Amino acid sequence: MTEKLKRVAIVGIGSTTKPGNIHPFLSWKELVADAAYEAIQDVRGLKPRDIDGAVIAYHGEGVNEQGGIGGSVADLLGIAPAPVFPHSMNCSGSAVALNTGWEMVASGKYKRVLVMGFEKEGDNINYTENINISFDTEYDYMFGFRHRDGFELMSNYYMKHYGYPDYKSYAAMSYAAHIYGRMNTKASVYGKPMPTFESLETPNSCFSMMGEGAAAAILVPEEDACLYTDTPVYITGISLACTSHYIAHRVGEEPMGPAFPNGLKREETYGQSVALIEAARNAYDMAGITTDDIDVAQVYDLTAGSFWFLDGLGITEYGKGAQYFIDGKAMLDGGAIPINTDGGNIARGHASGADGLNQVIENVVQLRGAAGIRQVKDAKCAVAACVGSAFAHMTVVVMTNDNFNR
Amino acid sequence: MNKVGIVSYGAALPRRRLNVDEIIDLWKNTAPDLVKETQGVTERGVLGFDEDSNTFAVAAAKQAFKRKAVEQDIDTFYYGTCTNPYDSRPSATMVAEALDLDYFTKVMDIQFSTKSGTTALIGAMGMVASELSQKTLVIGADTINRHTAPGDLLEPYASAGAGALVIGQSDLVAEIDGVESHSYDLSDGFRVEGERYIRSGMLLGSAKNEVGLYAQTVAAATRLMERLGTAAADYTYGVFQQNTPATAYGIGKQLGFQKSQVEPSVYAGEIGDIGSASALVGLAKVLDQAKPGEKILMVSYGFGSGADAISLTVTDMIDTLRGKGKTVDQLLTDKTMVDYKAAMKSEYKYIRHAYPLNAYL
Amino acid sequence: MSTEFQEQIYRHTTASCTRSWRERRGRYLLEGTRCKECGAVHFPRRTVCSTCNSRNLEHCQHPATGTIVMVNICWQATGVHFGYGENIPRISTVIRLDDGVTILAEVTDTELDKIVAGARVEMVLKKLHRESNSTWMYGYKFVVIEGGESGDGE
Repeated sequence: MTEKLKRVAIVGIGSTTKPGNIHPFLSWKELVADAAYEAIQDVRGLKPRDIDGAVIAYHGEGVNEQGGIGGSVADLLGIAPAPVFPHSMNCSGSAVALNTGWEMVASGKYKRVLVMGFEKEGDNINYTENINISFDTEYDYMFGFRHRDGFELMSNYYMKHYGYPDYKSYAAMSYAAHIYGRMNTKASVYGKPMPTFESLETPNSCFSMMGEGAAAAILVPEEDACLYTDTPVYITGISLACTSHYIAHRVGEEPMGPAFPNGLKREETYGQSVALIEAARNAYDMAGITTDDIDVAQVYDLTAGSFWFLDGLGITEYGKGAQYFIDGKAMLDGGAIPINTDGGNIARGHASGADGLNQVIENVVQLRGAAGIRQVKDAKCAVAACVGSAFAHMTVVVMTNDNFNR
Repeated sequence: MNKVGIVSYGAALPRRRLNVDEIIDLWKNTAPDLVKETQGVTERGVLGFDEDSNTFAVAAAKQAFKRKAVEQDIDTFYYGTCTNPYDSRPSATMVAEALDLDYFTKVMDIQFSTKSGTTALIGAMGMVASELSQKTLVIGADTINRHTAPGDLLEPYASAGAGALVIGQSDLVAEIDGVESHSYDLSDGFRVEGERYIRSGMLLGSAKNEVGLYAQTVAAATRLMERLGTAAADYTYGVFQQNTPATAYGIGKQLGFQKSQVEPSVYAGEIGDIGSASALVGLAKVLDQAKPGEKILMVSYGFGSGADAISLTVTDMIDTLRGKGKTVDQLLTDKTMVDYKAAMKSEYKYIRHAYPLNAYL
Repeated sequence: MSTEFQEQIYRHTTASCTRSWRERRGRYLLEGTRCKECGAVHFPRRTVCSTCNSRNLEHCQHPATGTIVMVNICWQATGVHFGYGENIPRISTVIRLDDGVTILAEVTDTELDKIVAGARVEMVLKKLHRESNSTWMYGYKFVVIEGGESGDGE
């Protein structure tokens, strides 16, 4: 008789403040320890040495010139000899780490798993070159193409193909992010003056604020959750879809071969990530939900990315993602699903390896009812979706709280 | 000698052009009239960020193959330049790969002289005439502009380009009547190992040309014409080394050519000195318009090296190549003007710092 | 210094002579692969066919002409790769070659207002960059040969 997979609960969260800023006094070790210990302390009665497994994500060995990081992290946190599994999946890294952490708990082998992600970019002058290597390398990096070229190519296509003649949608998305960010004490823009809507009507308003930070979460099997918290949040759906880094493959998504989703027209792939659609479907199936169940969503925001995330997650029809923001539906009072309620990469800040977890952490805060002035009323089911590289790794996480009727 | 001649031809020139006035206005080291009237150059070709001798070479050869699809028949490749990107590493193999030539091609780099293009041609003739080769690809390419210092008196003329020829024994559009070379060790120009910029070894002026440019070209051409029993009047066209139009007309005058015989080949007024490609592109310009039976005398010159003289007769197959590739006139008019700042940037002539440009700092 | 070439004092991914050599035909000649089992064509070259998983692949030189599908002209020099900092704006396009494969490529030697979706393009060989431990790399770029209306290029 096979044992069913255990359901997994998040019982503790932690993250460093202002992930959109450089923190010169803090090394990567201090950032990771700050986030991890905040998460541990968020859990009732958990001691650091209770952690029996961990996962950590960051851009990679070459980026921080710190190799074999598993051992270093175990030592850093005082949890040796616990296993620490490193991931390098670019900006989706910590969401992928969450996926691995979920598997570790769901398998029954681990009881208290610490999932982390961090980015420490400010020490290296050539950091931007390093993130640019998340690509096919010989046929893009070596030709001088950058990460942002891929995003901008698809954004330009999306805006033209779906008939958006100006940057009002960018302004709307960016403005929403800035409003939310000022409601979030951990955001990089917290306490700063608010930009005007008009000043955001440019393609540059939707660039993430690149900085340094770390984020962490503690996972336990569902049956243990009540030991640690009164407000557990369950991971009910989680997925990772992987495909080619090469940006020209987004057109028609040839690498997916026969796995190409049914019913998708070829021209719908150009301003879209087919892997995202796959990941969303998998996560929704696993969670047993449809988009009607979603109360709040965190999506990766960079250029027009948020638009096709909304499309790919099924929150909007293809091409309508930009209109969603123009219509104000991303706001708390928009009468629809609020988007990026912590400010997102644009306003909360973008510490690449911690992005995925920062999204999940915001959803946890929302589902706990602890979001204060940015609380989505009666939030019961939340979705987080993240991208790594030029749409090579797409993650979707579905979470619910005890109020959600299964 | 077995019949040998040209099967196809092609050329490539830089699109970016710089008005010589900007150079003279900045450096104030020469008179505008000297450059624009006496020498006859109004614009020079500027090298793009992503261009070098090899990129022009590939483009010129592709034009030759567009005119006649003989790439499968190439068994020998002679590549002439004096501005190879490496001090010790061939470029002919890289150009051969980029043209998808067979790996058993006899590939040779001929270097260091601004007559390396025609020297490559003479070598090619030997291979084809002796039947060691069925069809030989010849390219002359240079980026004189990359290797000319800002503020150098020759800066207004420094340019780049490539000319390509396919040499064979059959289907000839022009037959080679004969060749002659006069080789001479004169340090009128040089660039020592490890240095970036070519410089003049003698005072610029008529004495330098007397001993160098004119003396060598006249010696080679005169001996050739004596041997062939031809005179200047027998040639419809004179294609002479064009550091500037003045040098082409000057050589012509020394050899007894009328201006009208030289003018059809002249392009340097709009683009400048293209080194090893100079004579070959002048030849291409003539072949763009030549008629069957017309004779061409081509004489090239290389500093420190001497002169090559080649006599050709156009055949009635010349029309089979018309309309299939870019003419030199088309290459001249396909241009974009840049200013001096942009030229210095794209030719990498700023003193550049050691750390990478990065606007995240 | 012979070339006055700027040498980077920090770098991560280094250009490698060996890797450049291995990919040279892809970069010079648009050589990719074709699956002998199912006929699918690929660029860049594959080791396994993504359509039918066959390992039975052969070299395939893709046509040097195509149509622009996506365009980005970027004037911001933020994070520009070492070796490309002078070459602004950065022009990237996705081009569909005439046999159906799509390729990420720069468009060069063309007035900016002609670089639009739907324009017909032809490949040219241009120089890329080098780093302190490698030779110069060369690769494909494209030039617009015929205008496009600003359609979707499909």
